[in-house]
Amino acid sequence: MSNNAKKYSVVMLGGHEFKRVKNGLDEAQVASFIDELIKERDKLAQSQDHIASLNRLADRYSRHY
Amino acid sequence: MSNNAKKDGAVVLGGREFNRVKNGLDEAQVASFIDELTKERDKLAQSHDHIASLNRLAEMTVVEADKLATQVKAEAAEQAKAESTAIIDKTKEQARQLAEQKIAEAIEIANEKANAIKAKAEEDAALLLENQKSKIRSELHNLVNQQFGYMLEELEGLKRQAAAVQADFDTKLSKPIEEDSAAAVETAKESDAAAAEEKDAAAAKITEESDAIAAKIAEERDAAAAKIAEAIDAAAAEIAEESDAVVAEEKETTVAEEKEAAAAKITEESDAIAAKIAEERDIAAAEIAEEIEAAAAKITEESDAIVAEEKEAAAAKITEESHNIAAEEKEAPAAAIAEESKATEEHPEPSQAADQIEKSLDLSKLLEMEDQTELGKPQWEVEILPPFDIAKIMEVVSFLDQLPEVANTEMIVPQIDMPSILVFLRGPLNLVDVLQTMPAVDHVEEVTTDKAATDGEPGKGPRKARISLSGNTTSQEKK
Repeated sequence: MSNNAKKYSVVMLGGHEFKRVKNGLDEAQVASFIDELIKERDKLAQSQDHIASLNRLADRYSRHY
Repeated sequence: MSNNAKKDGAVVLGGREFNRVKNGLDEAQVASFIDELTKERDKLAQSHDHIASLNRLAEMTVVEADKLATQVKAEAAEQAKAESTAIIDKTKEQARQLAEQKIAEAIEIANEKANAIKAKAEEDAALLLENQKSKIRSELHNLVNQQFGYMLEELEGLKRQAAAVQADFDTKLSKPIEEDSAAAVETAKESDAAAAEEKDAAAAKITEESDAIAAKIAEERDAAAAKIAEAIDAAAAEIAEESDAVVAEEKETTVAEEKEAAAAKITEESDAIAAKIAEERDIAAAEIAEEIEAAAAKITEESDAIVAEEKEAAAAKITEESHNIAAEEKEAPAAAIAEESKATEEHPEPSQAADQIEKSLDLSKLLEMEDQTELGKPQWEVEILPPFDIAKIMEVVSFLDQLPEVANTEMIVPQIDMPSILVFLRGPLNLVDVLQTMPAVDHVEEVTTDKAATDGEPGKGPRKARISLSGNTTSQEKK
């Protein structure tokens, strides 16, 4: 998120645009939290992909034998 | 994230506290995005948990599958074991039945072959026994014929000795007859009568002893034949028993080997039995020969003793009577003696004269017969066809000797050819017709190859006749 493009009164975090407003939330804190959530989501997604690939391998193994 | 707690100057979103700052991010957008990310994370976490539970279930299923596989495997192994046991038992039963069938077939074949071997061995043994019987029979025939010839020769010798004694006695008697008187004639008559009686008694005794010895020889021959037959029967029974034992052994052991062993054993037993039979035959033949020799020696010895005894008795009697005549001559007047002598010569008593003439004729015939026999001019030759029976032959010879036309007979017993009887005739006689009347003779035929020979013509051979003996000769031979 550190390489978020910053426009005028718009901030890009996690591929999502946020408007700047008066009396808004701290950008660093939000960016850190969003980065943490995305990492956790990617990790789970990666684990699910791994399990899916194992399932495909098991299916292929069971079909083969 | 919509229920975020708001503090003073701070905002809580997704369980995280955010500070409010000047020119910060739009709270609504941040909240929406965080809410979206949180939902997505929770969904993935839930899916991960579901997969984990599935994984545990799969592990449990695998464990159960392993247990089930082990159980199935054990059951399959047990079932396979039972089925294999059943298959093995069935195969064993089939193999046993097949083996029994093969054994039965092999036993049947072995029995057939053993029976064939046994039959052949029995046939060979019977043939061997028959050959041995024939051989022993022929040897016995030869021995008996030989001994019979010897006995006949001995009898002829005795006859000649008796004739010589008679001639000597007649010579001694002739002198007193010429010189002296009726007393000498009386003495000669008595001496002749005594000598004739003694001669007849000796001949009867010799004939009786010869018959007894011949009967004894025949009895011993029959006993030997019975002994040989018994040994042969025992050998045949032993062969049969051994064959049965061999067949029984064959059933228990390997057929082919036992068959060969049985064949070898049967052959060996047959050889042993044949050797045993040959040995017993030789022993029996030796015993018979010894007995025949002993009998012949006994006959000779007894004949010699009888002849010597007769000679001594006749000589003693002649000497005694001569002494008596001399004493009477001394006492009686010479004239009376002369007168008596003259009267006797002119008018002899009929009976005394007939006896004297008959005796003189007998003696002259005997001497003529001896002369003819010595000259070797038989008128007939009677050939005897086999089978031979000594008693029958003796009967024929005795019958021919008793005929008045027959001067003498002579038995010829060759080693190889058939025996024959030479007949010396005093007068004409059709011997074929005479022989046909004999019960001991079964068949008579005249051999016409030498017809020219008739009644002792000089320079030509005798007439020949062939006879075969009748009666139970065949059964005796078979015994």
